[in-house]
Amino acid sequence: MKVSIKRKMIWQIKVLISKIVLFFLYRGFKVVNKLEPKVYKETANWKEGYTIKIQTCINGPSLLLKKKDNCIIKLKQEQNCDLEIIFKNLDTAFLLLTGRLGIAKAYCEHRFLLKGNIMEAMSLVRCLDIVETYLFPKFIVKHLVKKIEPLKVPRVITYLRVIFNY
Amino acid sequence: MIPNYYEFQNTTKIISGEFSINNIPAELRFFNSNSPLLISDEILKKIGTVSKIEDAIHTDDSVTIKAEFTEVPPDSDLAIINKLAKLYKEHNCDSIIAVGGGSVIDTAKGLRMLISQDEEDINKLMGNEILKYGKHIPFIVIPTTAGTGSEVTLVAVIEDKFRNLKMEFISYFLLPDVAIIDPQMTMTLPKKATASTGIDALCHAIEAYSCMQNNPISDAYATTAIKLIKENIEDAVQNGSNKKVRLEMANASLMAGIAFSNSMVGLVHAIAHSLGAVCHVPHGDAVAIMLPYVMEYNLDILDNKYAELLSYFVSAEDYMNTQKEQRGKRTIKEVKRLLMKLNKIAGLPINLRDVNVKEENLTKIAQIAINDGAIIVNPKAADEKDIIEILKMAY
Repeated sequence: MKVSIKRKMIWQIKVLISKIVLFFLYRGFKVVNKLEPKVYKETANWKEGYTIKIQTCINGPSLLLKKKDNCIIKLKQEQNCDLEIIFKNLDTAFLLLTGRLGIAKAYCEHRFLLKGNIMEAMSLVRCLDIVETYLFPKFIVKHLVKKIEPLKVPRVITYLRVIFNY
Repeated sequence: MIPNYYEFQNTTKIISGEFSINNIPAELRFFNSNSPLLISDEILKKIGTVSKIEDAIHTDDSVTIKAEFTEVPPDSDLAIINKLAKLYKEHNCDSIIAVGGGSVIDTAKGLRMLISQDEEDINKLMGNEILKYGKHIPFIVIPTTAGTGSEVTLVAVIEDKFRNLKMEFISYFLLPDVAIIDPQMTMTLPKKATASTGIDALCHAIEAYSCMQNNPISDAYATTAIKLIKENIEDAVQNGSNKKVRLEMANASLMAGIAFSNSMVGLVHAIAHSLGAVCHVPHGDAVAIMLPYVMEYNLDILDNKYAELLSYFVSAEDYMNTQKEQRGKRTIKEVKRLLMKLNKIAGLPINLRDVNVKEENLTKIAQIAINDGAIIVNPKAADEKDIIEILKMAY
């Protein structure tokens, strides 16, 4: 059976948008790790070289992160990671990436598979909640996180640093 | 109300009733198995519980216990699981029977996972829903406490003492094939253990009903469990030889297990696990101490959910006479009242001092609790400071 053209188009659009959002999620994580002590405190506890993969679905776009010298860097090569989040389908991952589903809710609803130590995943969840707080406007964030942390710098500064990558 | 999305699964066959352990051979035959490995602990061997199972199996000629291991420690241990895997293969066993509480059942789940996945490095299996359907190993569980609900849950926690690491495995493929609930299996449970395991089951039901992934199916199990526990726990403590009461409590524990296996548990369990890890507080005691304080902490978010639960704690008339905005608080009051009664009749601890927790350990307990997998399911955020405050209240 062939996939309908409509489904194919929607799929390709979602793949494209997911790739863009994952890129900004990486930049956001990297910047917020520098700006926000709570995130820095979390990542400081990760072992050097700790790797994380967020995969939108099997064969879908993915983001590979690594802790290196207390910074978050992006990896290009596929490899076995210490912690892997693999969504069951792209549509669910898309909900999360477009600010319509929080990471905690996604976990509770079994929306993704989690490979690795669940205790370590709790630290990543706290980081992603804060990163989302910086990246999404408040009216969206209030639906995504249980508690909105006060921002150390205005969102606009974060956006500029994310865009210009510094 | 139907949530936007939920998942629910319980594939375990449940056999409940007096003498249901005599069905073990028949159940094994359904799976074409006749050579089980029996797993239990030393206490159950000593008090004769294991011999009841042996009798039930050997009365039937078609099944022979090929190997027996009754040295499972209070916390399931990776080294023991590796030893059991060797034993299983050496004796050509074809199925597993677990007789015991949470640690025995978790050990058996770990063994089954290792054999069925044909994986030597258990670390590769750690996580949430990453197991694939492997080789089917028939697995029968006979719980001897009415609290953990492990006989119907998709979770196994295994300790790697060598690396000082608690490994958590969550998968629908961890669900046993058959759970046998026989009242004679819990008859020997002492008063205090009956009280604390019963409150553990109550907490499973309350947290499953009120946490972030509750759904109408798990709610039905959770509320039935609460009703059964409220009606039977005092009787079970005071009159442990009453088979009807024991059967109702065992069923309540099983139903709470089904509820939380699908809806998960929250902050009470996150803190209780940590109290166990840092101060070696028995799990049921830790849950009993923390339950009302965490309910108070969650009240502003969960007022409506707790209010709904009041009808299972008081009479219909009393429920109607309680003002709507007071019902959530009243539920907590009723939980406290129940705990106080159990404190009087069974010595159930009600604060952290009762279980010798040192005040200087509270920070460490909170630090571990925030990384527990259960914390993410709690509808109200809780950081290290919040947990320290809750612990101080419970001190």
